[in-house]
Amino acid sequence: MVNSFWPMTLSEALDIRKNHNVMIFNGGSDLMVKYRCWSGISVDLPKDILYIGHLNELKSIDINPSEIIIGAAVSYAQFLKDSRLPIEFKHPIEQIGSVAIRNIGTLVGNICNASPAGDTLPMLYALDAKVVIMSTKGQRIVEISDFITGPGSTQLNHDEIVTRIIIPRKTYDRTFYRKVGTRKANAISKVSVFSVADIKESRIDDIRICIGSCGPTVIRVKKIESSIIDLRLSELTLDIDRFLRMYDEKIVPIDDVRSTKIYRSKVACNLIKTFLTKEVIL
Amino acid sequence: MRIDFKLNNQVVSIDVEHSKRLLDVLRDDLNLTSVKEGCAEGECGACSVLFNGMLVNSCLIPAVNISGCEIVTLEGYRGTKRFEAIKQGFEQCGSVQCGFCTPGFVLAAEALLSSNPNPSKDEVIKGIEGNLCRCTGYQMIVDGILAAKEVGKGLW
Ligand SMILES: Cc1cc2nc3c(=O)[nH]c(=O)nc-3n(C[C@H](O)[C@H](O)[C@H](O)COP(=O)(O)OP(=O)(O)OC[C@H]3O[C@@H](n4cnc5c(N)ncnc54)[C@H](O)[C@@H]3O)c2cc1C
Ligand code: FES
Ligand code: FES
Repeated sequence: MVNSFWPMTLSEALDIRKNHNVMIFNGGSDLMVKYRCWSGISVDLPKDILYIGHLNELKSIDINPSEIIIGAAVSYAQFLKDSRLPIEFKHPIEQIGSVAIRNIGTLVGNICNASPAGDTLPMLYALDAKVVIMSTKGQRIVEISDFITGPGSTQLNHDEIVTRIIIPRKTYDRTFYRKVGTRKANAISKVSVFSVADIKESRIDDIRICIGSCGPTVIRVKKIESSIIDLRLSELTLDIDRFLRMYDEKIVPIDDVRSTKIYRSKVACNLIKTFLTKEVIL
Repeated sequence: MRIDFKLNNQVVSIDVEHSKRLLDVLRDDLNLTSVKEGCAEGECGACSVLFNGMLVNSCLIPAVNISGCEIVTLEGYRGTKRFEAIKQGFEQCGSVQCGFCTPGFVLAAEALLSSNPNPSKDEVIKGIEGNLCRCTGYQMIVDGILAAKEVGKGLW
């Protein structure tokens, strides 16, 4: 039987994290499934557990003129209910799981789980989100694309806890999100794309295209983005096929139970094309 | 560990392992068998209960997390006027066949109607997105909830 820790404050949680070899348990929607056993038998957790999902210090969404700061224990439902947040950022979240899953699952749990199919990730990469990590020694802030190092792996150290996500507060002229799964609810993505663009005087001022479930981590190719930036919309129109071929080379999906490599590549390129032709160029 | 919580309006104190699923606590320790085990992985909604008024899957909740909280199962909910309205709606529309999924759908309907007393058909479909039914084909359950909101007008 594993032991459990139920701290009353974040600083107590950080002390426990430093002094014991524990697994962090947030909303539990990944962990309870991963370690499930048989009916009537407790979940077979591999080590001592540090529960953090109840900590009030981690439950707030703070908004200042330049940032949206989301606490580690903020659930999807809380995020969706917050009327201060832009509707475009809610589209990926409202398609995650189901009503009941969104009541317990957290954005930070999704990041730390680091699944290639994590549905918050394409958006967070596109918005240049940062991850705030704390230990008893202090705090450090890293880009989400550096935080996630591979499928299921992050650069979190044994004494650290992710306490917040920071999303730069900015509006975009165009936003786009599509998730392709087997059914509408409780479906793990086969492919997903989140993109934003800014257009000034018929030129692309900024563009960010992020693809989920098509590689070990989210795919965002800044080199292609910078070759699109500054183009006139008329130039982009002529060059779309070339850019799609560049993306096709970068998309490295796998065959698995949910889908095939060929299907994923094709759908990802079609979604990028839809974004460019229906949202950016119009 | 000792866990105190409120269950169907009564204070309950149990002694269980921290990671025991709420589903097992309710069925095995407290004999509340309206809570069904379907998939055991959060996908079917048969184990739905209300947790501080929110719909959750009890197969995903460790016992430690209910400490100090309020849990409602169908056994508690069935004493309410709102339940009577949902029951009538379901009866009118043939929303129940084998009945295995029904406790979950009733609580999903309560969670939906308490946040949105006048849902459209699409909103009803979204509200029950996490509940699976092998018998009815869903249409009758959607109709049942739409009928319930009329029968129970003013209750939510
Ligand atoms: C039926 C069902 C449907 C689902 N549908 C979707 C879906 O559509 N899209 C999707 O992306 N996901 C989906 N999920 C997966 C899951 O709900 C999400 O990944 C969720 O965001 C996980 O958050 P949590 O708080 O519940 O995580 P937990 O299970 O508590 O934790 C997940 C992992 O993150 C670590 N962790 C959590 N918080 C921290 C922290 N603060 N610091 C450091 N490490 C931490 C944990 O140790 C663990 O390894 C689904 C799950 C289920 C059961
Ligand atoms: S048994 Fe819990 S959701 Fe299926
Ligand atoms: S009535 Fe049989 S599963 Fe729904």
